Amino acid sequence: MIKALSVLLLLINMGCNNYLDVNKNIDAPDYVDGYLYLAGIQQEYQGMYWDGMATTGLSQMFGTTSGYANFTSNYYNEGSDTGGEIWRVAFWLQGMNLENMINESVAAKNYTLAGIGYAMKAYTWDKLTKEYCDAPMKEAFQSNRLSFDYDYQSEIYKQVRSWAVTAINYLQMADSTNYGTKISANDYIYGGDKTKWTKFAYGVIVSNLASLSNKSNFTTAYADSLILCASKSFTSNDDNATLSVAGGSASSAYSSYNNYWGIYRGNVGYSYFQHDYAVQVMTGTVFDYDQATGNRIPNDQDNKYYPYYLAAKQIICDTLKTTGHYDPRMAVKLSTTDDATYANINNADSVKAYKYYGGSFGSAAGPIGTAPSLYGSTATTYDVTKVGPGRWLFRDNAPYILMTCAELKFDLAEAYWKKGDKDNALAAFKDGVTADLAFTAKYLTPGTANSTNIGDKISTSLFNKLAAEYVAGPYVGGITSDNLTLSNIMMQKWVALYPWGALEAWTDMRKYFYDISYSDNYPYLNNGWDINTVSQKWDTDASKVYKGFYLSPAQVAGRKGTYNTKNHGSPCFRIRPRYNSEYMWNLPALKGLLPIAGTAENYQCSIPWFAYPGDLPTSINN
Amino acid sequence: MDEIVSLTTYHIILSFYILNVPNKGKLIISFVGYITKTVDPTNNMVITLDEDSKMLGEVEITAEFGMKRVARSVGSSAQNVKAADIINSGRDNFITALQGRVSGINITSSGGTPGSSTTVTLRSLTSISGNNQPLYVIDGIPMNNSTFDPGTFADAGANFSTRNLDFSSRGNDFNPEDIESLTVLKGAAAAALYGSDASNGAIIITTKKGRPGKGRVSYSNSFSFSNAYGYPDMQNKYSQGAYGTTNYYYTARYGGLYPKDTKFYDNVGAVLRTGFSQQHNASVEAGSDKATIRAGISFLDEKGIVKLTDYKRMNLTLSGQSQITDWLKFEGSMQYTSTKNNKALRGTDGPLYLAMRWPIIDDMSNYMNPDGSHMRYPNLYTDTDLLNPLFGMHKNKLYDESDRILAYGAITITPTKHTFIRAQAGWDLGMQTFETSMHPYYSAANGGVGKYNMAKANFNDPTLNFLAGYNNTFFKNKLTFNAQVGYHQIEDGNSQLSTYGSKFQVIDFQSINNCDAATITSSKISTKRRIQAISTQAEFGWDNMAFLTLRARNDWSSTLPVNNRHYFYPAAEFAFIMTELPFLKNNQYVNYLKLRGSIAQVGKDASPLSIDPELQTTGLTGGGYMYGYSGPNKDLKPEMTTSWEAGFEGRFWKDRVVTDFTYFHTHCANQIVNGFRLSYATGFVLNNMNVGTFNTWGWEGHIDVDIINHEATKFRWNVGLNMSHTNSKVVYLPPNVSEYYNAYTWNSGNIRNGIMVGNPVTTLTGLAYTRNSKGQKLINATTGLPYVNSAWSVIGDREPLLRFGITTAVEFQNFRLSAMFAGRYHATVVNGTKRSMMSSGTSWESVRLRERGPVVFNGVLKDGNEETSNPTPNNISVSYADYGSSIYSGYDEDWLEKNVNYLRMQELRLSYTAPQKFLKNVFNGFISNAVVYVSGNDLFTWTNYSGIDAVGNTISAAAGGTGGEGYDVWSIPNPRVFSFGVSLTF
Repeated sequence: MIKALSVLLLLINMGCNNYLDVNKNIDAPDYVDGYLYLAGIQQEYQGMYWDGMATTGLSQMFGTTSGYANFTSNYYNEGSDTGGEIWRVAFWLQGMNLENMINESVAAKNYTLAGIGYAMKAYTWDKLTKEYCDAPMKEAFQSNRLSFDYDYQSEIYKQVRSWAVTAINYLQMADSTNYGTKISANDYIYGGDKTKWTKFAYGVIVSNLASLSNKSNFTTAYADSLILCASKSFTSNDDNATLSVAGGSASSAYSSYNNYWGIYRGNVGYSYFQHDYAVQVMTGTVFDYDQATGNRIPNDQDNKYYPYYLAAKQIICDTLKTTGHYDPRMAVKLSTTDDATYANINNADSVKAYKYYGGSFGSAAGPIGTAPSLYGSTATTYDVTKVGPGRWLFRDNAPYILMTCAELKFDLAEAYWKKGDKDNALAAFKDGVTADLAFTAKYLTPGTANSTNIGDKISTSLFNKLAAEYVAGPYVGGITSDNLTLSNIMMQKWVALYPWGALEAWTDMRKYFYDISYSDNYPYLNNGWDINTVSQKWDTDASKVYKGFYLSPAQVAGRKGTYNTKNHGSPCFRIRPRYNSEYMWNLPALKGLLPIAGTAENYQCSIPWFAYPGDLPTSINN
Repeated sequence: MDEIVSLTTYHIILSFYILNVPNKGKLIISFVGYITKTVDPTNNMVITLDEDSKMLGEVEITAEFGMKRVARSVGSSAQNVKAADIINSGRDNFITALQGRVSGINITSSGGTPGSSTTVTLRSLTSISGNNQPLYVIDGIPMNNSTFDPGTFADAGANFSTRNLDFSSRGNDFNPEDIESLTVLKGAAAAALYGSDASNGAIIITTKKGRPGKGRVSYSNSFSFSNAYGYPDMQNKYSQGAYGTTNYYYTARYGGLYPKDTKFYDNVGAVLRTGFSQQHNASVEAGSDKATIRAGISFLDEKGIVKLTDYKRMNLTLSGQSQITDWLKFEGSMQYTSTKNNKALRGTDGPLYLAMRWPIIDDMSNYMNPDGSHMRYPNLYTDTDLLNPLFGMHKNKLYDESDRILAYGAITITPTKHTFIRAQAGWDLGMQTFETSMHPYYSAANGGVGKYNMAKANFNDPTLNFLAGYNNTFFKNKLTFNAQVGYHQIEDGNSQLSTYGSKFQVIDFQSINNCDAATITSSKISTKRRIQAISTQAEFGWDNMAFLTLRARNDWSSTLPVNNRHYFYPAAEFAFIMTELPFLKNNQYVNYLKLRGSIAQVGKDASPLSIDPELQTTGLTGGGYMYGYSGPNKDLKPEMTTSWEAGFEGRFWKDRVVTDFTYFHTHCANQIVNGFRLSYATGFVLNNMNVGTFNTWGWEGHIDVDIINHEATKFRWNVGLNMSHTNSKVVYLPPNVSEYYNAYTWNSGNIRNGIMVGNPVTTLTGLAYTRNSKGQKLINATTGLPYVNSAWSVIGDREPLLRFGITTAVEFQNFRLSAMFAGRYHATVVNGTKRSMMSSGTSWESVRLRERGPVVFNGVLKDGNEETSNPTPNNISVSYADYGSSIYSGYDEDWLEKNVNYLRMQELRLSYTAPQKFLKNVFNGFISNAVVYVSGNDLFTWTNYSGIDAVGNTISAAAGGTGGEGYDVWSIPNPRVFSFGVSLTF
């Protein structure tokens, strides 16, 4: 009996494995070829725009009445995931999908795909560390791990460049595979163009190193690498990294086929609007302040559009409408309610006469007038069937902008400038401005006269004509090696990044410490700010990079607020890691972070390594 | 006596030969547990003995895979429920009928509308994210008791979840009329027999197979009227508007006084009606001592108390058994069930909540615009975001139907006197359709597009059991021994095809074909879980006094990684009958006393596709695939539950007091937690991992007393009391996991089921008031408002201190009056109903709050002195006028009602059995038995709770995990039901 039973059991066991082999999903794969991850990984870069809702506020490009208003006041939303989208993209939405794609491609010697994967990984992590600074990198994606230790930004920066180099190496290797259209049909950035991906990987290194330009060892440790990589990177707007989307507005199968900032998805509406600072910079109306009181100085003329005296030295343009003084980008990047019927968008006088109003941090009402929506009206919601998909980059079918030629040219200009090579700096600067003008024109969607469809309020031909005049004018062509300032480079870069590259713009502002007036080699409590006010350089200070820029608790009119007490007077230097990832489930790892612990109430003010002149201190006076 | 042919709790068929009975002698037939009968001997006579209810327990038998076991040998707690009690309960499903009858069972219905799902737990929870319900075993075959999760529609949870839509549990399909006997096996010991699915206990049902002897035809019916009660009053003093200003733009009622002579409408009443239900059951049965057969049919047609809700069920059963040869017996049954159910939404999407928000000066029952097609908005109301629930109920569709067959066949071979072999094959097959349709105009400003969902979900669960056994006695019958080995094969197959579309072309037409083709999405999901298992069992008995049972089982499951897919689990049971000891034997006061104990371990596998979750299409330009929320886990291990219990059962004082008591302890380790949150650095949002460990313990007891038992006048009064108490504590979660929570319970403020180390698994967490070290609330020194923590902490425990049930019956001659009460003592309930009425100003309590004038919150100011010995008491008064359009939306702690006591009269029934003589005279034997009855269900509730339903259940049984009991968010409790009917046997 026992013997018979054991034979029976043996037979059962032999049969077991086939009988039990039913835990396979027959409706969806649990594993796909690498290229099938590609489009999804790329499209998740929409998350850059999502977090742009926070970084546009931090860089004073936009103000907002939305739940992101805390970021405009250099604070964060407690217990919330806002500002945590890049975290979600890097770890989850791209995350293991990208890891799988890379690992499968390397194993299969599909080097092009592996190279593309590494290039994107480098880009994503570069943005991740610029936004959140420190993050779990080495322990990320290790299976069965319950907690994840953080790596400091110094480590992540190195690794980003290393991944970019890996990408370049793979992109140079011969594929063992004929991809057919597998890559070209699924690559929504470069359509499988290896040369451009290689330039992109170099561009990631350029952008990464550029953010270190205020470190004390920049010229000796990083500048030459930057210049070398820039020479192998983007040369024209054709090289720009842009991510195309299907668009389609209401007739799209999924709403995410449309641009995050387009009309159809309704993310923008009228709850985001151009900030007063953006209007001041781009229209050449930076104020002159009374340094005794911080007040704007009313002029005695009865001009409601220019009620205050403006600073004598403007960086981008001025209010003269004579040839070469007018920067036509304002008619595209900024929005206006003027010429609502698009009747005169080809008329230079009419276009130049548009009035632009910027809002304040938490309200569309600004110092001069009320900011319109990004679409150029004051409607709170838009019906896509009546007004169309939107305008310029705020369009359902506009591509997402990831990295541009202009951006990298300004990085190059800044590096040359720091090295004291003013001639090359000037050349790169002019290349940058020219490239951004062309970039701006590329996505122009002029409105049609008497159409209800929203469009840009300048015709392409007029834009190009005015752009050529501007390049030849005093603010670009008129600049010489001798009078080229860092302000010229950084503020033109700021305009070029408006608003898609807000994270990079904010990175630049942080590395120049928001033009705070401090002694020693970095600002801290009672050295640059006290609990109530940040003391900021006046525009007349030659070392001030961002002319007209003042944080909210500064000494000038319209900025005399105070930060949340938990900031201890400090501006924000990083966005906190995603709440429902790290603050809920990885808190112990945050505790040990320096110089301010991740669990501290002012962790958002902890100075990042990229901005700190030397090695990061272990504690900071705050 | 030479052979027991068939043995059930109701009747025992003995065939025996008695020779040489003296002429005119009497034959006395006695059998333990049955009333002795004295008859005149004739040839080939059939004698039926009646059950002696006092003796239950002595012969109580549990049917294990259709095989029987004497109750006295069972070492764990098993409780029988009489089929008659289930049928007489007035409930349309047998599951609800168990509440209050079995100690340690907790049955939560998701609501009082027809076809609501039911969640059953025995003793305590054993899983923090998975299934906690017991296994239902019908004649040895597991019965599918799944509940459809509306989150799996093709709209992927965009419109429905377990919060707002609930479909019937498939266990409710089973026809109570088919139950011959029902045994509840509590605790993990049952799992060693039935496998890990029974780790939460098992409910073992044996079905009727027909009785030998004279053929019988039975018919019974029941007619019921039901009405809702216990809903809160709407205030009719202040009109809509922000504080003090009438403005019909607002839904909140903080405006000015209603003008005199304003006409008010009972809009909550407008969604309700008197329910009516009728049920008809008929059966035929016949047979000889060699074979029996039974066929039954039942119809149930129920119209619920919420307008337009209904439930129809038809059951058809054919069963029988046959002794084919001396050594071969066959039995089998087949049940077909058809159900159709129209539903209403629940919670804050449900009709009650929407009716509460509707202005009371407007007649909501007039729900159509004069144009005859659009949803009408209330008079004066200038915003257009109100939904008229009646429009929704008439124009939307929330429907499901199912066809289901549960069948089995078994042969038992007895090759020798001491051995048997049993082979059994069963099949549970269901075809279900779930359908929702939302009318385009059921939307703010009539501006929707129409949304349609359909899911076809089938399950296909074949089962195989092979058992071989040996039994014998040794040492002059002192030692009894039986042993059994088994092979078991279980399969749960599920396939679901779902489709979703929107933008209806024809406004009033409900079909996927009516949707804009560009909007249609479909999805398919198929899962299969298979288990193979070998079980073995040996029972040693000594002198009918001491019993030891050893069991072991090894499972191989398809759902675990190949290297971890098998798990072994042992169990041991011990029973000792004290009353068999010489000094207690035949004791007048202690008639029966058994001590028992058991220890068992159970392994549990994962749900299908937990190792490698599917990739999903991206929904982004270019398509392709990406991971969903959950990541793969190649290292999942089976979870292990270890439990022990000890107890006694006894009968005292001439069997008039029957009692039993059990203490249990369960250790649930390595819990496979699905949807476990960790840092996104895992690569995922949710993970399936072996992470949780917790203990549960408690006791359950039962006492049943014949207070009066007067044979001569046939007067008997019996009272029974069931009580149970459970407790639990989470022992381990990963150190960085402060809380594991079920997001679907996050239904009222920030209160949710949060599981934290050191606390019970039934813990409620929320954002508590910030307090100083003395426990005083801290108050903002500027605003006078209390501070609230930003992190979740423990604010309550849903588990009541005691759960209890009381049964009582009075029998006097042919009358029987019975009642059953169920209750809870010291429970904590989330009063989400009150919260929403308070913040919208619709309750009288909100009026009192408003009229009370400025208030000073109790607490101390957070002014730097709060931790000193002299904190500053709060003296800042806050005016409700400051709140504008809400009086008091409060904080999480305000909406917990603690120490809620509750007693509900679940059943009250009066029946009359017609005297045999009367039947003989009037019907000449055509009708052999007739009973008429009137009964009521849920007639009264006594409670100190102020909301609608002190039990509450905020989520459907489909949600699993720790469930939604204890949340009252616009619950629809069981209505008051009055029934009458007759039961006839021909």
